[in-house]
Amino acid sequence: MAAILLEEGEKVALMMGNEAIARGALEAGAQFVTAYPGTPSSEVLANLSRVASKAGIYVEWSTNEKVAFEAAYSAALAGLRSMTVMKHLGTHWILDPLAVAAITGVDAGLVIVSADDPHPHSSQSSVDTRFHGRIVNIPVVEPSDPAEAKDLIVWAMDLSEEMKTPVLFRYTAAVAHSKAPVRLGPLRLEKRKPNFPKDHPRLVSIAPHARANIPKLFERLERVEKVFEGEPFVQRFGPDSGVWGLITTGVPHNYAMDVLAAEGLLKKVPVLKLIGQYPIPEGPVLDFLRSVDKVVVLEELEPFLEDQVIRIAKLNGVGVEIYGKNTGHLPRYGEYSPELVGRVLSDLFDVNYPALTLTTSDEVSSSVGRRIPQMCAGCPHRGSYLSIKAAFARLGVDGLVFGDRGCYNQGSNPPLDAIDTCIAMGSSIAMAAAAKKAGETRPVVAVIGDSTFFHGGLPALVNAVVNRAPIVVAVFDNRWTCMTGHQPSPTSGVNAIGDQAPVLKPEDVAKAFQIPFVRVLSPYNLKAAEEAVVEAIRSAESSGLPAVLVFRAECTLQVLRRLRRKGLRPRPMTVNPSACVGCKECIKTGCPALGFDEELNKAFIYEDKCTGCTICAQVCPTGAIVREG
Amino acid sequence: MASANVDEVNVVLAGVGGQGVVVASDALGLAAMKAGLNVRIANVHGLAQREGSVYSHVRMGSAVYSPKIPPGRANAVVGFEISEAARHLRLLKPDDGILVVNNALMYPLAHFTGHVRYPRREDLLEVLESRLEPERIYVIDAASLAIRAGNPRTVNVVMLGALSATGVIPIGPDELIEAVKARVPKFALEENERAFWMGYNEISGGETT
Ligand SMILES: Cc1ncc(C[n+]2csc(CCOP(=O)(O)OP(=O)(O)O)c2C)c(N)n1
Ligand code: SF4
Ligand code: SF4
Repeated sequence: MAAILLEEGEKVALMMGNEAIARGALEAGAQFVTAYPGTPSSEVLANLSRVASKAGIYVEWSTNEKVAFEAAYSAALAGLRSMTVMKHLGTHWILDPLAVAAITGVDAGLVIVSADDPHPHSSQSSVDTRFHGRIVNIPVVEPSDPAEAKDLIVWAMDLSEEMKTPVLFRYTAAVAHSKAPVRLGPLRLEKRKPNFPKDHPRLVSIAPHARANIPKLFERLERVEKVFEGEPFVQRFGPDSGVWGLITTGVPHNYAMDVLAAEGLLKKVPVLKLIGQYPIPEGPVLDFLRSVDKVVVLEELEPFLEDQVIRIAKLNGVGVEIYGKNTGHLPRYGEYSPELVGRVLSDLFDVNYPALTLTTSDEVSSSVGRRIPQMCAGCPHRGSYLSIKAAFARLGVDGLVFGDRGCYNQGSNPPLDAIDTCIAMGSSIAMAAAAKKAGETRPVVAVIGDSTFFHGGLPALVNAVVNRAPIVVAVFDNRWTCMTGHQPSPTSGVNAIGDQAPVLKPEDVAKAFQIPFVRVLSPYNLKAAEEAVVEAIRSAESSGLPAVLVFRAECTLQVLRRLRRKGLRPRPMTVNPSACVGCKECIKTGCPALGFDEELNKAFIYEDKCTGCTICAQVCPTGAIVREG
Repeated sequence: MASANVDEVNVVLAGVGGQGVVVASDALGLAAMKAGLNVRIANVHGLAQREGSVYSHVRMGSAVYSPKIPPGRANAVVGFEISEAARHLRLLKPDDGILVVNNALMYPLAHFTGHVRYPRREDLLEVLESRLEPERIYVIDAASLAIRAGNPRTVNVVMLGALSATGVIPIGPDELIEAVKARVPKFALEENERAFWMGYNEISGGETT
């Protein structure tokens, strides 16, 4: 698929939004691209990394988003067009340096691609990151589909370089993961030489310098607003005036167009699509408000545009009625859908939208329960959790497990039910340590994946050591950043373009931090792992310092992929029905390769799913689970 | 058969992680684009590697804007698994939308542990059959057909073949096969082509040689 990214000539390709953004980077002359993985943004750099060497551009998976941003910012100061990509949660991490970058400005284009997850499908929160651009005062833009996303990367890059300001490109999950025909434009593969400026009054941003430079930031914004007043940043559809009008952005624009098309309203309802959203182009908005009696503002998450539109109407004495989140017609949380937009518009327009009349099968659709995600069959995290639970049971304690972000947060689902918190990257260690410092008497374990450990866990571990928190830190080192699609982690030994890199080991870090108890173990040997957890808990209590356990085994999916490429398959386990007593101990491990035949009262194993990891065999009290064949 | 003046044809493809929903949807989208149709696709993978639900909306035609199908506007729901088909029944056009479904129910682990109870396959199938006139529902045993085609992992392509034979999509079978071949691994071209015709003939009553 990645080959399309470097294709030249007139061509239309079916592309996912994230792939289109990757192509956009290559058409925008981006020469330095950084990212930290996170759904729904990860495919942008994953795609670019496959063609980076050929295209002669630099790409990296950075340790976290703040590092990713600072790297791209530095390159943009040195004169290279740069881009940095992250999910909304990462955009929270960059605010501190971003606020300074807004003031210093940039010498070459710098686009920050921020993927929001309004539903949220795969995030712990769903903040609207357009506000991040708003509070640091940089331009904010948003595309409504993959084709526009590709073009908008180019427009945003040009704007950034021309106006010397970073630009925030916000998009949402529905654009990131949808596919549409995208017309390829000319590639622009830049070969600029870096020339980092020695410009102390600007780049040594101490308070007096910042004070001197802040006014320039607002001058830049004024110039940006002028640009946002014209195409392509603002687009008008439909008639010149009407009773109802729509102000739209992002994917809700297309939900609305579907409704207008179905109702024959395309020629009756004027639509103003705002791609440039901050600073809002007051002129075109005012003209639009004067051309209609009532207007609905459609955008995902917060009333970012709507509040600005209300302000513009009020200050200019325009009596137009403005419907949206402020009037309670639309929600300010959750992902929009064709159904929601259809219902709201048909109610307001007082038309009958036929799509909404069929609900007879609703109860069939809702009668099927959600598929609770489980860690994969054979996943190493399963054994790690089982050993922690077994250790608590052996000590007769109801210990606390502070979890973190990664595949292992599926350990929170039944039947494992193995963690008590799951907050933000690195929170496990900080919160676990705090629990002890606050006086918690139960054993406290922090569980954290390798990528998350290096992303946000390190400062928290230092904190736990210097403040003497007697916790167990269990690092689940499966060699990759798996949750988000198996990107390299500092533990992988490869970088974004597949070149060899040093393998960093959490145990070496722990030793360097002078932690007295550090042990590396296999999650597939439950008895030994349980013993190690017990020892770690005792060590933490007696030393008054953290104890670190590194559960090391590569992600099963990665192992299986390599096997499959060699034409090999794992040897599965099987249940001997005459020995199975139907106790269900095996299925309580949560392995999806297991099933249970209620009529026979026997467990069974799907041989096509089983990886032969033996975890279920180790918990089976009767030895009924054996290697097949 | 292909024509550029199609207003709107919407297809939902739904299954469980690992069943190849996204590959099937790509093939359908590519074929439609080749046939000169405007295309939009929405994918929701959830946690596909980890036993979650996966679905894809494929929209074709000149009157299509958004990637997601409004409720009541799907011409076909293609369920690679019965419970996943049921989940999307509400999108089906009330009068003439069709359901093509693989007669298999894949229980999630939580069903066996008692945390989520799924209905029995026969019971759920009966519910679906009670909702739609017989000429609007096609039930096939895609798993066996895929095995007969030479690879159990070709269930997705069997389902595409079946969809093609219903005549609901504005793309001919040969064009669809070409798109499938562009999207599956080189070493698996033949078994996928066989799988397509297995599904196709199961509906059309033709013979697979
Ligand atoms: C600030 C922030 N950036 C990105 C993410 C997305 N994300 C969720 S888990 C995770 C890392 C998972 O890797 P690891 O800790 O190694 O665990 P694994 O999934 O491999 O088990 C990432 C990047 C996030 N939740 N927050
Ligand atoms: S992708 Fe890897 S780490 Fe994630 S659940 Fe599956 S086996 Fe475990
Ligand atoms: S051996 Fe048991 S626990 Fe491991 S993958 Fe197979 S069924 Fe699952």
